[in-house]
Amino acid sequence: MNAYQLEEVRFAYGDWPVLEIPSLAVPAGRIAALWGPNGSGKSTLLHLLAFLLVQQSGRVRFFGEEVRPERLRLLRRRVGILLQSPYLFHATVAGNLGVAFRARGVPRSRRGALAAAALERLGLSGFEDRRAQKLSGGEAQRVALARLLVLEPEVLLLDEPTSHLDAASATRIEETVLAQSRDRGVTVVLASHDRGLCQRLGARIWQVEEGRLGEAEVENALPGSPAPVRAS
Amino acid sequence: MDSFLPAARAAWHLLVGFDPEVWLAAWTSLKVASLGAILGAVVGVPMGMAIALSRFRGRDAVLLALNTSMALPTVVIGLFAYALIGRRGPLGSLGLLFTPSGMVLGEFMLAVPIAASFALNAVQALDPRLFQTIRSLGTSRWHEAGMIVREARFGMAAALVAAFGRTIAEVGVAMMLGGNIRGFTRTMTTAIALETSKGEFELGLALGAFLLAVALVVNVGLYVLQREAR
Repeated sequence: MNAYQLEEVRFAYGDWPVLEIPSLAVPAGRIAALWGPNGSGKSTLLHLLAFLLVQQSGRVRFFGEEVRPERLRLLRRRVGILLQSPYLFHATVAGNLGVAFRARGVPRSRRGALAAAALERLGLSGFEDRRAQKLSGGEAQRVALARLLVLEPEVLLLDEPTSHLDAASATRIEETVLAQSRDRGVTVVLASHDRGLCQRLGARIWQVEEGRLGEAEVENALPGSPAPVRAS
Repeated sequence: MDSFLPAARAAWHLLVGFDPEVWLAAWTSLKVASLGAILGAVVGVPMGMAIALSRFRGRDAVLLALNTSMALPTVVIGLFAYALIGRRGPLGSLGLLFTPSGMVLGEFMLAVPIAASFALNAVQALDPRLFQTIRSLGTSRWHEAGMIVREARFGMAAALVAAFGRTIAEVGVAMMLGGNIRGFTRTMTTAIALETSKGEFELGLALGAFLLAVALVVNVGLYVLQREAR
């Protein structure tokens, strides 16, 4: 089963072509990485996978279902995207999670346990009453990820999730992403220019350059793992 | 200066002695201005948000009209409202002319563009990442609007305060639609104009001092809200 199946997808900002993807299949429950330099189209592709953008031509299937414009709002509820520079609401950390809970109508009875688990996972226990705008970059990034995790998405889309972060925050985020994939079977797609991160996560890597995808490579996350294997 | 100091002293006594003339005008002013500003914000804030969040043909013309209506002299707004509720106007049968309700209608017309403009600016000043974050949650449009209002809450509150600042301080609408009827439609501003022309400088000064205090409170509130919004 593929989480995403793209065929002949083209996307342009006005007359400026940004993406041209003949074919892409992202397997469900796996970690996939879009690797390439800044401006190569990784973020645009990630926004397309988050149903925040719509391609001008081609087809996108999500878990077998053809993506149609009238379904975008509902499909967005099944994915969570961590923006490169995430926005936190003007509230406390708990308040930020609360906004997400209310937006998705999560029952009150479940909110406390979900929030506690996500905050603990990301090393943020005790941060509930901290003002979001007073957090460091690494803390803010982790809160934004916690805000996604409490909604239990089927797919996590991460745009440069650890760039410009301190080592401790980056490690927390990597561990959390791995745990989501391993324990919950969440499909993860990350966009990154950090090849090392893609390798550490054992991601299937697609190189993105000038809006086109290269061949996929499979990496192994285990320490001392063999060199990457070319995949068809 | 020789006549000002005794007048100021007399004005002070009128204020602290709870002179009914002063306090009745103050009460009418606060009541009419507050209602006009609140109703203006109820209409103006969603209007400003809608303009800020949408792109449509003629948007520039709407913005131009909004800015122009903010700069309209209050007597011109009063004139429009008079044409509406005057005896021969379309709402003439309601008997609103020279009543507090009629004045509220005029203040409402004055407040709408101010509230809309402040709300528009508050939404346009929001971080563009907010809109992406909200959209990514896949919630309803109403819920999205609620989240935008929540994030722009200081700007929205500033819209209400600014609308009140305009309605409490104006004289044209109150004069034309209220008629300055003592104990009924006389406001602080219309009373100041009348009493000073009659030579009752002390009463005018007392009302002026009260109005100044209200204006100060309003502007401190506006300053605090705008600082919080940043």
